[in-house]
Amino acid sequence: MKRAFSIALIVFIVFYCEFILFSVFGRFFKPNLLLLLVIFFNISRGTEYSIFVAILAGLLKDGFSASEFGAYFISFVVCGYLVTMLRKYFYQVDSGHLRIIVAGVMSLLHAGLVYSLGYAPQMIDFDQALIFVILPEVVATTLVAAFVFDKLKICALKFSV
Amino acid sequence: MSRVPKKKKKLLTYLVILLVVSGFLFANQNILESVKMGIVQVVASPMNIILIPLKEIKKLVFYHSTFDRYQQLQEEVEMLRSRLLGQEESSRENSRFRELLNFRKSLVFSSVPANVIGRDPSNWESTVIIDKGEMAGVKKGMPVVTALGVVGKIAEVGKTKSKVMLLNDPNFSVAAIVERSREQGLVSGTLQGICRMRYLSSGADVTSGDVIITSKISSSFPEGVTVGKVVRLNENPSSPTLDCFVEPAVSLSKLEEVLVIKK
Repeated sequence: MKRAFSIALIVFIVFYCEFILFSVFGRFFKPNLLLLLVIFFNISRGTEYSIFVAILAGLLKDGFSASEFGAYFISFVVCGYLVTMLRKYFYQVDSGHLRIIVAGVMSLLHAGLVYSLGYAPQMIDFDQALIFVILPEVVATTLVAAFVFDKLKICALKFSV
Repeated sequence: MSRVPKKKKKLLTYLVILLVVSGFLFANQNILESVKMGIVQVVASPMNIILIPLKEIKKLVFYHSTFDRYQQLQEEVEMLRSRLLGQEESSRENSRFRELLNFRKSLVFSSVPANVIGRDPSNWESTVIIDKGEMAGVKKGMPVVTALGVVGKIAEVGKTKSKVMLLNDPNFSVAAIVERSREQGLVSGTLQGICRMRYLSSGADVTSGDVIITSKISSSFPEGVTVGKVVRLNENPSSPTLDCFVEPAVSLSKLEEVLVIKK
């Protein structure tokens, strides 16, 4: 119970960090920190933890979104599962570079899923979405992945998760 | 042998979670709206506290540009005051003529002032959270403005908080006209963060710098509210209509107070 509460607190903190980054840098630098959190917990603690984080993260993002409820929810949970598969067949624990590649690939997949489920039905141009939302998010997320994973490791130890 | 059923149990659990989560997408969104606003009620309150130091830092960092802008605005106000003196007389004359013709029109709207307490940190949408909800008489679809112009409209309402869809959100649209030439069109948001005015006729009299205001035919906004200024025309010879990019009159990234217009 204490562990679940600590993980929930970490999710909230990461969400507020996303909010601060967005308030300061705007749309030009918006890494998907919640997705990195899902990936981190999958790599370091296993699938169950990452699904729990994915559910909380999805609830938060869908709660604040004005579009259909569920797009972020599904996307985070699917990404949580897919990291398990990537980890099983491709990932090597001691390779820092692979973590960054996983972050980049998952970020692209997550953005694609969110677009398909939440915004494609609203007839939003894919070209516009790719240039102004998907690619900037993927690049920003991949750039900060290594730094964020290191900080999350420290954070997880402090919260005894 | 005992490990196989455990593995299958785990897979089954994951499948059930995925199915339940997928079910949300097909559920009644009206019911889920109250769930969403419940999440916002809880999570949005600390956002306001987090914004306070950020605002103070921005004030210090942008002090010089803010002061220059203040001086510019002071000069504009003096100029507008002197223009207003002449126009007040025209307005009185206009009212007399309207009365003579039995033309009645309500020009006064009641409104609710609100503070912006948070925003959705997402590039897919442009929404902000305000600190007024159902209890203050706010309803879904109500227009939101400031003294400078259109901000957006109420997208979702909770008891004490509401979500405002901003003018530059891809799902927002409002009927508008070019103030100078009275050409009709539709202003909607884009993923670039700027607005686009579409469905202008191909030979429409519109140029860069033209002011765009809300149209009489807009069902959500009162007419004559400033939307923004044309920054660039988007001419496509193969298209039967013309469109242009419009920069909002209100600085949507610096919103602090807004007015929700009650109808």
